[in-house]
Amino acid sequence: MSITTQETPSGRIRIQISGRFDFSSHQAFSKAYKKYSRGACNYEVDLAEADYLDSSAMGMLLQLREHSTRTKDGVILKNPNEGVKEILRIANFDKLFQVV
Amino acid sequence: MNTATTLASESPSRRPPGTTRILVVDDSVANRRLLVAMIKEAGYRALTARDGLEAVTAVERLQPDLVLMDVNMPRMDGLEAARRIKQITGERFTPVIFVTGMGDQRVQTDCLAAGGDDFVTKPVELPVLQARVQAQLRTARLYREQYERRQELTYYRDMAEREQHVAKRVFRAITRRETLDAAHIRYRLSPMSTFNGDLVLAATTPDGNTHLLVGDFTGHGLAAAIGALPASDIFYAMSAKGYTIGNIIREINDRLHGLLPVGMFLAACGLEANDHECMLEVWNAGLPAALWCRKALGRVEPLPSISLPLGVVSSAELETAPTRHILAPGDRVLLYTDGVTEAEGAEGGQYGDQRLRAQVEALLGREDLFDRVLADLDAFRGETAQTDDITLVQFESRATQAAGIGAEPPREPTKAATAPATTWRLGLRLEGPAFQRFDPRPLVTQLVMEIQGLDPHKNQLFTILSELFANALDHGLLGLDSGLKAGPEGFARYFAEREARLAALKDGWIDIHLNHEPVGEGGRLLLRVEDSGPGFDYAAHLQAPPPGPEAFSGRGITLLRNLCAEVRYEPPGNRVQIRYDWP
Repeated sequence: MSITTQETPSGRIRIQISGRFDFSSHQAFSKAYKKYSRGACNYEVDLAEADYLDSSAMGMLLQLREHSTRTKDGVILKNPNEGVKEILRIANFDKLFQVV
Repeated sequence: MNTATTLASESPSRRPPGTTRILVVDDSVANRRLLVAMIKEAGYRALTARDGLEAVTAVERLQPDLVLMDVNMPRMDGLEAARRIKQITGERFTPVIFVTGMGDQRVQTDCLAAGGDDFVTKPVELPVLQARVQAQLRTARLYREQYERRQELTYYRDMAEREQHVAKRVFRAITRRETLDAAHIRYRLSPMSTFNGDLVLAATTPDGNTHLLVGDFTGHGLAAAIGALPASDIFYAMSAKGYTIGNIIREINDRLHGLLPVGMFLAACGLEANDHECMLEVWNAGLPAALWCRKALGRVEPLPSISLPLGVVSSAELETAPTRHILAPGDRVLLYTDGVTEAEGAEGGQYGDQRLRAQVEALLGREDLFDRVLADLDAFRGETAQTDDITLVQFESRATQAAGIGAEPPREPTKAATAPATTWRLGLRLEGPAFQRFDPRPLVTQLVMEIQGLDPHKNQLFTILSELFANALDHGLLGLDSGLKAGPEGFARYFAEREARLAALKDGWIDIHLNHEPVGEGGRLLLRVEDSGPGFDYAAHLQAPPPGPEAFSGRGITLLRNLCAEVRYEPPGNRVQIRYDWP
């Protein structure tokens, strides 16, 4: 599992995740966004390289949502693979996050 | 009391510097004097013993930090004394340094074999003795510190175990009720640790419906299990009062939303089964699709999640709706947490949705479906360590006949104390739109319980009120035709239509009136329900023969007549009064 952060040209913070996205990612993931102040930024989480996501990871996404601008595009989830998409679908996370 | 601290303060290694005590054992007065002088010179306190026997007693009574031991002595020699001292001190390491003759290798070997830790040769020189003693004391100190840590750890581990044990019992008492052991519900809960982040709750409502809720909190262990307490409390309290599973799910959602930190939630699937009407209502909020095993049709139908898990957003934002189905005899519903499908196999890989689904399809007609699915899961996992809580639950329909006929009427009143009968009246009028968000049945029933203590009659009264209220709302206000219920998809159609009309309801009212008075040993309750609708041809209904087993509707009136002393409709049929006599 690895997490990298960068700023996109449009001013979003892009968090890239590769490998298993689960409880063991908790520290690294919150470190990735907590350097930006609360309510100040919009984020996109690039899941292209994430091959698995569990309920703790979904919890972390909710925490990120709290930390973002909390608007409709506060957090965008990008490029989930089929398995990850299915997990997000079961939890109906498409109602809280834009999934593209 | 803090035992760990008490234990540490008694330990020799924690004595202040300068009070380290060394026991000198020698039968020669001159040797003793010399060694004692050296020890004092080196800054330690000295104790003395004249032979091995005295040394053993001194160690027992005075617990010196180190022993300087001569080899040859009367009564008991140094070797035997060392053996005994090591036995007495055990884990409380007390170094023994032998004082031996020069170059006597055989004696030196014997000294080490008897448990000696080091030796100095005669003639003893101060710097050598000092260095050896210091080295041994250092080792002893490390040894003792480690011993104390171990004692502390054991103490805390025992305490944690005791506390867990107590907490686990309380936890079980709150989350587990006897309904779970009913024959139509089978379950297996395999928590990963002492506390389970998965949850199985089951209850019977006052009108005889089954409520079942299977849930999976984020994570596992105590942190995950803590949310189970409010959830089960709400579930059991509201089920007992006759609230619907939909009400209960919303209430749990709101409570958890207020209670749990962001990022923690409950994926859950709730179902309500009405054996009387063979209705199944399913609210899946984030759990893997439940599997509806339709035995008669020979197929398995998934009942997927239709909303966010509970506790993520408030109920006002929770877009959720139930799916409704008609159960045939022998139908089952399997509910499970992702611990099942994500279980790791002995030969790698995960159990997976497909294997589960294939198993269930292959075993559809078998009585032992549940046991066989479990056996297959166990075989797949082998000895592999569990990585999440694993929960699998089977609900089996108790409907005994074709769709639409009641299974069993509510039970006979149980014998229990009621309050002395008093005279009282209660009236309630609600306008149409109120019913979009308010169900008066549980509250009215509860009021009757509070006023008259009619608990043994609660199920009967709730059922009577339900029938009367459903007729007034569905037919009186919403103008629904029971004929809609006919046919295999009839119930679904009926409920869809009912929901649409209820959402659009603007006018009308329902009056509920209760009148109670003491009669003889007990009391008489008159319950009148009136609606603003046009009424119906009750006379035709009352004269019609009771509905056959294939009928999809018309059981309400039969049921009322069975439960009440009297059922009286008044023209034009929008007003009905029943009489219920107790003891």
